Amino acid sequence: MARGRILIAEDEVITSLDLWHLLDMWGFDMCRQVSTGEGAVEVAAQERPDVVLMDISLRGSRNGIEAATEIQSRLGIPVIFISGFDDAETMQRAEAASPAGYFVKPLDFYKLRSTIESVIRDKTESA
Amino acid sequence: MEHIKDEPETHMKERTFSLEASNRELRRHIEEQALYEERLRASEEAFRKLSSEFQAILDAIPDNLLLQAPGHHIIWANRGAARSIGSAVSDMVGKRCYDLWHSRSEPCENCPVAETFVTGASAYQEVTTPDGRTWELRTMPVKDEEGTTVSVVEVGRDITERKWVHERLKTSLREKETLLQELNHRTKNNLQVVASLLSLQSHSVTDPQALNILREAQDRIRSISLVHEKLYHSRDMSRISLRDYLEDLANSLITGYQADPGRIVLRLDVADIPLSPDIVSTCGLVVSELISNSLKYAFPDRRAGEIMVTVSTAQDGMFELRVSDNGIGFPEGFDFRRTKALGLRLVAQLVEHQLQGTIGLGSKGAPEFIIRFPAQGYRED
Repeated sequence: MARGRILIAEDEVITSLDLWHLLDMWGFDMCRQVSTGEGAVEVAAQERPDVVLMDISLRGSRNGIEAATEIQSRLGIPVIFISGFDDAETMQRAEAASPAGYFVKPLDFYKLRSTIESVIRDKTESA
Repeated sequence: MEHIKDEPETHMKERTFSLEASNRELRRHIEEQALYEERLRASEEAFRKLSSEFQAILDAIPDNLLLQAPGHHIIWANRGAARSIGSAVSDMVGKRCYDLWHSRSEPCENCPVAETFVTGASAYQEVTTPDGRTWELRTMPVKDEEGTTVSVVEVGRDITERKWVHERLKTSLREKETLLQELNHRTKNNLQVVASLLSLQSHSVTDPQALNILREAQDRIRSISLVHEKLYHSRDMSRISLRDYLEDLANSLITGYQADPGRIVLRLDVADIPLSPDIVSTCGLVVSELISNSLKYAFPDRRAGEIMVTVSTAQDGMFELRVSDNGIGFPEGFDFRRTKALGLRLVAQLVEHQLQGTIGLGSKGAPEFIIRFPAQGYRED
């Protein structure tokens, strides 16, 4: 049985592919990959993942923070940011989207995994 | 009869005496008057000289200096003020300042001169004239014996160029911050791509040794990336706290390697030393290799234990880095310089050639690497 359903919104193909493989290997059910903010909102609405891993700098007209804000508020799906930005200004903007976590690249996969598991656990318990 | 004869003569003498006295008095008065006039002339001359010197000094000041009466009438102006509106000083006296500078028929809003007339205190204001120039205006009250403000001195300085340079500097600083932010973002993304390429490669590898090699390479990328992260967040871009860095790095390694958290505990005792990014980066690679080595070989069969990392300053000004564990110990005849594993050979090379230090094993029972490197003399290019 899958341990939860995850959507990855990341415009770096190699990073996205690597994350997809790792999460799949760890037993998570994976949504199709997206590389734009609009795509993230659309797939999240269709496939209803348990968690969204969201890059901040994405292709398309909507960045990861905007997409995360809508996914969180409209769909009630927790979002974990994965970003190369670690400046105070970006992190403060990201904070406004009430994320479940913020991971700076290069990612510490083990910490990321335990955060995903904990977010899904909290979601299941509160359901 | 004799008496009658003498009377006119006596009278004459007295009269003569009186006239002579008056004459002397008059002469004395004339002399005093001449002296006073001479003194007055000298005083007037001194005053004219002083006045002309003051005028020259006030005219030499490039700022606009004005003395204004109530109603903003100009009582006096220096040449700087006249020059700023292409006029002569004599043409300005009696005119209103708001008419001359702002082509207005009434005082400007927030006029510091008006404020000083009301409050009797100094005031400051920045204003822009119709020609687009920005002025810094400072005012001072001139008071009479009763303390009433009778006139106001206004000093106006053209700060258009200063403001322009300030704005340019601010823009330039913002551009540099954005550039640095973007560079940091790019670097982190690129490091992630490199780590992900190795990670993706490892998904198709089954050989444990090859997997281990790929894993170690990813750890090395993380340790370098952590220096970059610390540097970006450091107030002083030329120094990083070795303690902060090693704490993050070692904890990340311990967490990453252990399937069962808490089995191997990390003990850190690192002096808070700010060092150059080059030294910190090299120390990071060294500590990363030594901790990985302990995690891989010192605690077989799920043994529990501790890994200790200490950094201190020795009396001779050298830094001493020690990494040890309480695991099973080195194998018989162990020589880290001759081992085939890249990690320990890399450590020796980094210490001796990059840190210009020495590396050796501790003499006590537990396996311990002791690294000493100089605080000074490190190539900081």
